[in-house]
This record gives sequence, structure tokens and C-alpha cells, in this order.
Amino acid sequence: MRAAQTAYSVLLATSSFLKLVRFDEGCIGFTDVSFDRHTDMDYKDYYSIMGVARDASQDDIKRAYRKLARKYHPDVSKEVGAEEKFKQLQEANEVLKDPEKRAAYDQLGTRWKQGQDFKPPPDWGKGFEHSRGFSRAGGGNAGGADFSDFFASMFGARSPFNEPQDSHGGFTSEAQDHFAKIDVSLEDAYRGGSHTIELKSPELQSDGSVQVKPRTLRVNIPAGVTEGQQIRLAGQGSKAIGGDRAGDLYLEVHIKPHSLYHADGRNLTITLPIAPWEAALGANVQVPTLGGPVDVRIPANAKAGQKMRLKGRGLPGVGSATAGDQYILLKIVVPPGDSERARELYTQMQNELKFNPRADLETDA
Amino acid sequence: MNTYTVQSVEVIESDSLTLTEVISYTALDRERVVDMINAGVVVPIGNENALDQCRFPAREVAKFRAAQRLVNDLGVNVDGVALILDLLDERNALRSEVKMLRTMIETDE
Repeated sequence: MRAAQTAYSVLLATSSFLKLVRFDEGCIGFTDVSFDRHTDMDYKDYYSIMGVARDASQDDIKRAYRKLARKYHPDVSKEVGAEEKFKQLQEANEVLKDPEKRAAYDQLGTRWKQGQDFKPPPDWGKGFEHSRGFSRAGGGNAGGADFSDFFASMFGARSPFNEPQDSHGGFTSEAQDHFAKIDVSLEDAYRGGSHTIELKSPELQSDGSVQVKPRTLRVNIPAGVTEGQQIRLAGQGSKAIGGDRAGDLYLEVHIKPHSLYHADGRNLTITLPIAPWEAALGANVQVPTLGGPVDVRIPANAKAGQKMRLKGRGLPGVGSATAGDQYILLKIVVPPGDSERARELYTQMQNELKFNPRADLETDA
Repeated sequence: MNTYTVQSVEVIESDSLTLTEVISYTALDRERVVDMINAGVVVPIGNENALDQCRFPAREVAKFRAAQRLVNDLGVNVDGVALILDLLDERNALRSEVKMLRTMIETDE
């Protein structure tokens, strides 16, 4: 498991692909690592994922799930890897909350370790009376299609824990729209550009089972998209059973954090460091913008924290929306007194400026 | 694996989606969407007593979807979700302000 998680974060850091993080119905997506079948078939220690002992009561499990779900829910959590942790948590809960599935899982015994390559025992599922097939609670994710192969082989559509009539999870007689999130860099939001998206979509097989098929889409994201924007890819959803018309795929845009700019809608803010004499005397400086550097006049007696505006230099407008602005936040950087000459100059200022930065702290008392 | 180039890419930019459009974009029931509006998850533009005449900014679609995920995954009701989303907005605004203020005071050393 450790290896899998490392691979995941490395991919997040280096992949130029869009990362599709969360899916709602039927369509999953994230980085290529999810296609690593071997890793995914590893044994999952649901008790350690939930942080409970093997003899925990059903109430303990419920409490542990609630606590961790609040902590790692991708819509709430800012923790690194929350997405992946939440998915594992849901999978663990799916098994442990159900006494029948939990008992079957417990039969595997304690000899398996988290992350170990796993093969289901040949007599898996024997001796259990299945009162119901597997279906996902809450309806947030269809068919558990984003769960691990370990889960799929034990409790999924082809397992003894599924009844045929339930295996259509998420498939209906109507075409369905799918949803996914995409991460877009500020540069791409500014210029627009081609993105490659990896998706996993459940497909209904002729024998009634559901198979998750990877597919790759190339999408031209237009210039000027902003946080939370919706993009519709017509006909990229799923087809109805036996139907021709497919639903649409909706992408929800998320702007990746940038090292220089802070984005708020179409407006950008950059922190601009200036020297004390530039602040005091005024100066002409070059300021980076997404469209290339521009010359800016810093007024004399500028103060730290002062804001200046470059009109129309933010993200471009789309349709009726006008382009955003770029704000400049001034930061005064004090040069170090690390040479004889620098100390001489500071001493000269000390003697001649008669400047008391703590004048406001002096009281009459 | 084949890469398919999507030809039809439409940015939904409108600030004037109708209730029907919101319902189709979120794939939620009308009843659920109305429930969420009444709980204050999204505040429509116009008279809230005549939702069919109201308009919705396109980016609020994301809020309806997030609200539905929170209902499904955390077992909160729509009033709770409205509160969560308000607090999240506030938290995110504060976080980004703190981040910006930090860049003001931090030194490179």
C-alpha cells in the first residue's frame, strides 16, 4: 500500500495530465496509477483503514467511519491525498458495516497483510446465505466501480455477493450524464490548451456484468475558464441499454495553485517585493503577468501592503464576461547589513534620518 | 489505448440558467434541488417564491453537486449542508487571505 500511495503522489506531482479527482455517477477518473491492476489487487486491510480492532462492534465501526468520513471528505478536506483516503474508507465501510460481508472478509483470517498480492480462496463466498446483492449505499457512486480490484473480486458484480438483478448498478434505460473534476493550471486557463483526460467508465457487458473500461479523451479547454466553471462534452456520457443517444460529460474546472499568482475568479494577485528606496523614491519596475511582463510605476512613499491594479491583466473574459484584473501587493524587502559598506550606509541613515519606527508605542505615562 | 479527441466542448458561462437547466446539469430531482434552494445552499437571482422565473449562475451547479455528495456521504440534511458550504466558503476565503498575508511577511532566507 505504501508503494501505491507513493506512486500516486509522484504522479500527481509530475503528471502533465489533468487529474480527474472525483466522480459522481458512473464515471471515474484520476491518474494513470489506477490502471495498475497488480497494485490494485493487493490485499486491503479494512480494519487498519478504519482504524478499529478486528473485534470492534458494529457501533464502533459506524463511529469510526463517520469520524474519518468528515475528516477526509473531498469536498471538505484540505489534507493531501484526502480523495484516495476517502475512497478506501468507503470501500472498507462497505464491507465492515455489513455483518454478512464482514464475516466473509474475516474468514480470510489474519495471515494477509495490507498491500500483499492477493488471490481469493477457491471456495470464496461458500456457506453464506446472501440476503441481498451488493449495491452502494447513498447512491453517490455507481456500482462501486471506483473500488479496488480486491473489493471487486470479493464483493463486486461477479462475486457471490452480488445477485444478477443488482449488477446493473447505475445503468438504466435512459442515457446518463457523467461528471468529473479537472485541474487546470493558471497558464492553461489563460491561454487555453489541449488536455488529455484519463477516464474509467463502467460498461455493461452482454452477460449483465459491469466492467470498468479505461478511455482517454483529448479536450481543448478554451481560454478564460475559472474556478468552478462547468464544461459540457456533448455525447461523452453513457448510453442507455440498447440505446444510441449518449448522455453528456460535465467537467468541473479547478484551478491549480500557482507559485506566483493567487486567483480569485478572473482576478489575480501577485506579491511584488521592492527595496526600501524604491518604496521611498518611487521606481519603474517590471511585473510578471500571465501575458508577459509589464512596466509599472511604483509611486513615491509607497507602503508595504499597498495594492495596485493592472486593469484587464487577469484571466481573459469568455462570452459576455470581461477580463479580470491583476493586483499587485507591495512587499518591502530590507537589504541585509552583511558588508562593511552596508553597515556604513545603515549607520548613516540611523544618524541622519532620525526615524523612530516605534513612535506609536510611546505613551504619555 | 486510443485517444479520442472531443470536438464538442462547451463552456457553460451563463449567469442565467433556469431551474430546469440546473436540474438537467446536476442530474438531481426537482424536489431535491428545490429543497436545497429553500435551505439556502444556493441563493437564486429573483423572487424565491417563483423559482421557475429565477436565474442561477452556472458555477453554482458545482454547489448543488457538492451538496448532494455531502448528503450521501456524511448523512447530513440539506440545512446542515447549507451551513457546511457557507463555512467552507468562509474558510477558503480566510485560507487564501492568510496565504497572501504570509507572502507579505515571509523572508526568503
